[in-house]
Amino acid sequence: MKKSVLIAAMMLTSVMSFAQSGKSIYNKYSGAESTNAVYISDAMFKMIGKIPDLELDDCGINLGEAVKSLEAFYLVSVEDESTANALKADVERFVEKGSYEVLMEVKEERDNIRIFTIGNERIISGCAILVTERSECTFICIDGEILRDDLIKIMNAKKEDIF
Amino acid sequence: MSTFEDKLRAIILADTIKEKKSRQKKISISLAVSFASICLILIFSLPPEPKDTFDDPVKAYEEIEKSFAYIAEQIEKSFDIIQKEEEKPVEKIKNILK
Repeated sequence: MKKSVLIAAMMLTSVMSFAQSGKSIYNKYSGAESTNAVYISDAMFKMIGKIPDLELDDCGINLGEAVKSLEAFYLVSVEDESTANALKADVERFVEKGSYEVLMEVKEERDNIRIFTIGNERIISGCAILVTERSECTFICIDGEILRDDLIKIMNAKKEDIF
Repeated sequence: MSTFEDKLRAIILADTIKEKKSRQKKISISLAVSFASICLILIFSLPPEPKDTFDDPVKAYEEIEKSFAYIAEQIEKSFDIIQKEEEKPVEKIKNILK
């Protein structure tokens, strides 16, 4: 009897944790009006890993190789204020429940940039980014493993591409 | 006399066992029903697998590159804000000294 109750409680807990995933947030908002949404699956990441010549000259990383062990990529960008507020609240709940660590948080008036990661010193197993600018809100969630050093090198290379 | 008592005890015992068995059966049926309903809740509450936005891996790769660039841009913006905030006390001191 006790065992059954315990199993039932565990199953319900897992359901609750599923309710707070990047996937569920993507599913909830991807169909909404004035929303841009992008989803890339693990199968697509594996295919990207097979594309030859994806090396970035300035940092010497094979991006295809670096991202091939990623499992999912979700991007949701909302322009409507009320939907943006709801998305922000959902992401905050998801990050809190998923035991993510704050990597960086910067606030300036109504703009807010927050980057969260999960993993260890060497490997990042999940990354969530929440950017709120006035009435807009962008959420990016990357599931799967990537070397912390690789991610930093990619970011640096991309930064040089922009500026 | 004792045989009658024994028979009576045996009948009562048999009834008690029967009752216990039927109670156990009821408990196991209710457990099975609740287990099945939890399984159903689990199946229906799992988020469905979304469809890939791109069919072409090259386009997907370009989108990832674009997203990394966006993240890098946000990080750069954050550093600019931090730098600006760090400069504020210096400016204040300069204004006081004027």
